[in-house]
Amino acid sequence: MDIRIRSLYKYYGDKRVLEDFSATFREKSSVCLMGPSGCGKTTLLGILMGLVKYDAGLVEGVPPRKSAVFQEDRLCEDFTAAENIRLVTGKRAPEAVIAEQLSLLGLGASLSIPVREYSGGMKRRVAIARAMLAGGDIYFLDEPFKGLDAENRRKAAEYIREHTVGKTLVAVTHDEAEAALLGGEIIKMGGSV
Amino acid sequence: MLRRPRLGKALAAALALLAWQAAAMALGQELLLVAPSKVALRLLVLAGEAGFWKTVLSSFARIISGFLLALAAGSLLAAAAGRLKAVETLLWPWVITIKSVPVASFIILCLIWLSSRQLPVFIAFLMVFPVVYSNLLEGIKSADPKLLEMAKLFRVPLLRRVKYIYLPHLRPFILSACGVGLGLAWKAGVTAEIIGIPAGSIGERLYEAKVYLDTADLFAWTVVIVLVSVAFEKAFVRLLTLLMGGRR
Repeated sequence: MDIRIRSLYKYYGDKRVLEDFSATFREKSSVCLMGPSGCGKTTLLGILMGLVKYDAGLVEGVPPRKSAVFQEDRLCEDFTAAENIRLVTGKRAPEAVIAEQLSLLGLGASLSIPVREYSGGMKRRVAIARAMLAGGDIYFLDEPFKGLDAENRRKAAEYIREHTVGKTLVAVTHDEAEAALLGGEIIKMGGSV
Repeated sequence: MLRRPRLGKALAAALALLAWQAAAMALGQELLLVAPSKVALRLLVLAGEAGFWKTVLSSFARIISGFLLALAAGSLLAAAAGRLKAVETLLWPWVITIKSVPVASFIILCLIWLSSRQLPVFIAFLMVFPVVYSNLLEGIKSADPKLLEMAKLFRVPLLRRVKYIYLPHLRPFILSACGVGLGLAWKAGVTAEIIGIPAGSIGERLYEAKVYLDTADLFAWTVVIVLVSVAFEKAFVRLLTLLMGGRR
């Protein structure tokens, strides 16, 4: 089922963040939302994830099984990367699989230390692995490559593409090169109102 | 680096003992202020008596039972109140009353309803419950909303949310509640024993010391309370830290 957004409005106090926004995201396709800061990209993602309430409009067709890379890493800092992944997967993902997937993202040597001791880029990769291993019918990625160098960005994009084949993917980015790495349709959102 | 603060504390304690000894010698009246050396001797004699350990153990069991009951009830009700505002509102008048009513009023009132053996358990419970409940509720309310949102999106079951998100966040709140709560439990529990006078309790021995004006006994039993209370607090906090993954 396609995701249909019609005449969406969202205010934070007096500030209008989304005004009469409409779009259709085709099922099992990739969409990249682009636009300047404050234009409502993250808010729109939050609404689609079901975490932010909107003031007016219509949103339908969002699958119930969702996965996400949030704008912040949102990791449990006291736990290891594998434990952070097990938090969302439970026993569905065996330990060996988690370790293998983290190794694919270049984290194989840091499996036993809490993520508190990771660099920003390493934490980002854990957040990406967590989202991909959690699985779902739709993936939301909010600036997924934030803090990654060019090589890790390329690796992470390839990793994401492999895991989201045949799934709906909605990503947010400022950067056209990052949008190109993820592929799919680009939707440009306007400036803040 | 680790030894310096300990050395400082040991020196401060030695200085305090010296000051106490000097004051007792200057005063020269054991009835008013007994010297620490005499207290130590009396303590040694007491420790060798047949009923000493039984007395310590019976008071310990009663007071710690009250503390553990309060820890369990306070944790469960704080969890319920953190989830349902109605529970917090319903508990509010009870918690505020327990916090503000003097412990002596509770002891006298409860002496009518409870036996002298049950009284210290209930009074220790009553004093510790609001501390545990308020601390934990504050901790639960201040849990990272972004992590909770993440858990909601990924449909993380409650038990896993507790293990990964709430427990690490609540660790300092639980440890602080236990530290404060144990001190209160001993103070209030022994006060209840002094008023209720259950047979074979520390409270009874303190009451007898007061009646017979036996200052050495009064000081010796007070030292026992301090030692048992501090030793148990340290052991309990260490155990909790281990159980909650203190390494991290």
